[in-house]
Amino acid sequence: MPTSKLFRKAVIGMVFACAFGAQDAPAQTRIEFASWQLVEKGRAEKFNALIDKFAKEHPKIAVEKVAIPYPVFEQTIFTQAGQGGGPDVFFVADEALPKAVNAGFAAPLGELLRLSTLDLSPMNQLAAAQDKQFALVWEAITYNLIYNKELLAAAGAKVPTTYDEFLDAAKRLKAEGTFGYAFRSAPAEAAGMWYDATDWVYGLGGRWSKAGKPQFDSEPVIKAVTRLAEVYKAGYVPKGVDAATYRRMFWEGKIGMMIDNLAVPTIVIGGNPAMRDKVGIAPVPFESREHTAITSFIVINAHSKHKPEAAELVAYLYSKEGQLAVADMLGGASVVGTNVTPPAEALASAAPWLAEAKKAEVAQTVVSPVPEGLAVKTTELKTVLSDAIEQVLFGGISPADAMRAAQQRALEVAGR
Amino acid sequence: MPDRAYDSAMSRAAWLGIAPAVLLLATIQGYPIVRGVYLSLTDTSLLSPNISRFVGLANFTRLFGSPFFEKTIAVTLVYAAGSVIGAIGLGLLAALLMNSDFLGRRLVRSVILVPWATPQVAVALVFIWIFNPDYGVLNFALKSVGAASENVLWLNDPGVGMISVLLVTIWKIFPFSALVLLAALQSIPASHEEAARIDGAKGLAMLTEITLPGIRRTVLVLVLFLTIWSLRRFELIWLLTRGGPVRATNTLVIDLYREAFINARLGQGAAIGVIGFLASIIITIIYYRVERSSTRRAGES
Repeated sequence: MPTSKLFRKAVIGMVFACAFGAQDAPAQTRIEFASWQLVEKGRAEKFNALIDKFAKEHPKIAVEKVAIPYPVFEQTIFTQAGQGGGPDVFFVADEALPKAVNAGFAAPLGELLRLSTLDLSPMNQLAAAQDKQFALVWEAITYNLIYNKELLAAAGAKVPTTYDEFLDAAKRLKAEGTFGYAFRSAPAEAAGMWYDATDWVYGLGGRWSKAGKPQFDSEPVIKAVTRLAEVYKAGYVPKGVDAATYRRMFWEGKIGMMIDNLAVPTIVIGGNPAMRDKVGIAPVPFESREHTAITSFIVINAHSKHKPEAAELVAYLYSKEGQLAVADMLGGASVVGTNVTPPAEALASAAPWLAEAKKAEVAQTVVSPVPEGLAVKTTELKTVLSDAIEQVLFGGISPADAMRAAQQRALEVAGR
Repeated sequence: MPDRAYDSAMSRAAWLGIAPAVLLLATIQGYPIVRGVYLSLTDTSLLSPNISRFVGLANFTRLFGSPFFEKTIAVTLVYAAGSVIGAIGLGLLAALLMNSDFLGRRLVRSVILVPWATPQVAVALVFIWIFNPDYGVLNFALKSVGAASENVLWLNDPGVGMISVLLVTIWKIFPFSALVLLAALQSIPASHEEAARIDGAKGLAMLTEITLPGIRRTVLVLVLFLTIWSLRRFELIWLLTRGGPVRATNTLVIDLYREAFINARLGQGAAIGVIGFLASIIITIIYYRVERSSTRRAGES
């Protein structure tokens, strides 16, 4: 029958088309790449473009970008990796790296990459253990005083270098109808509260732990929490805000000062380009001149079924071309995974606050926010700390009592 | 004997008939429960769930020894009671309104359903802004009418946190109660109301003598459902307060999530889950007892 013949021809035609079509199209391997920076304002656009460029230059590799916000990033990735899945390449920050290595999520990179061909910086030793390189340093972003030059000038306040000057500036800013300072005070921001409090503690020479023993009830920690409560109760800070909100408020000119990481000026300028010349950077205005940093790393998932392709992506990101693009994306100051540095004039034009940031770095010593000897317990210790700070800020408990109770809980966590 | 053979065949047929349902339930309900109970007796970590050690009742001992566990139970009970009473109370008022005859009744019926139809995440995000101490519309309104002299910390003050979470919860779930109660109200025979009216019953007497007894069984079912749902409600509380401030809204489910998925202690989280499961069973048993005795009393009268 003519209809049946026609049908048979159509089927044969489709089979041929599929077969030859398949031969023509390059066989692609699909890998997943997860980072919180893929959602950050001011960075996401350039990062997406960089990954797209890699995909264009490597037609055999299709990269699926997995954009997860920072507050839930570790939990999401680790839950997947715990089940033997997860993205092929992903970011980790600070204490999440030892957790990933201990849990066997991080593939040894020496077996996948020719590390000697990458111009890696000595800082990558942070991600090495048992003679194996488990990750590469992506970025180390220090915390500094970030201020709005225009607001401080209008309030007649000078850039603070001491706690008293900081209080005075906050008071003057409040008198002008803006908030003097901001830190995370929303219950939903327990993990971030750790970073906020760390600079206040380190600024007084304190530490969260020493040789595996928590120091939550030590004098510097109690004094730091007392100061945070003082600033909060004086009404210098917006109440109940999370980081995304107070950063937005900063770029909208409603907050005069923050102690935040150096990724934030890029985010602020991304949110409001008019802030470009208004953002000032200075050392954290506390006694010890010690401040902290978030160090993030890039990891190839040990469960990945496409490790060679994942390694190609990592190699691209750590090539000279990749690092220059990353420096442009991140603002330059924090890209310390390799010895590649962008030309000075390019940095200056990309980030006018960078010169101030460099001066601030010289004046301070960086100390890791990860509690010494308790890295894998950090997540639980963050909850202990945020509970204690909440009790002080909202529960009317004295800082000394709250931190003494926190110390008991921290000891219990450390002993498990 | 032929009768016995027939009975046996019938019995086999009955078992065969329910076998698919039993198999399905055993797979999707029975296995997770058994697995959950087993997990609660181990030190399983979320990071390496395939490596675990049997620890007996250690997770439960730690839980009951924790200074926070008593508060968690109390918070869970307050939250469950508050949301059930609030949702049924407001739902009943809404149902009575929707059951009466007035112009625009259809519009009201549609509008009342909006909170139920809105996704929980959207509700939480909008209420976070409404509750914002400095810029929220609620504080602005209260200060505008002179009801508050300074900003209320709706989600940050431990004394107010639970009230705020309950307000959002009740707003979100009351339309469900309203709909169910409306159906119950409409099933009350008109002749009962007519007879009561002839006997001179009005207003409150009508409500307590005719309406409420008429919907009593529906209310009981609602109490059961809403209580169990309240015990396991997670998204709203987590998004609004993460169990804070100062653990004022830290229910069992929030604790479970924190232990299992943030602290990565799956075994400890499962122990909390087992306690929540037992609580649900106890509530269900209480429900069936109340239901049975109320049916018996109704039969006697």
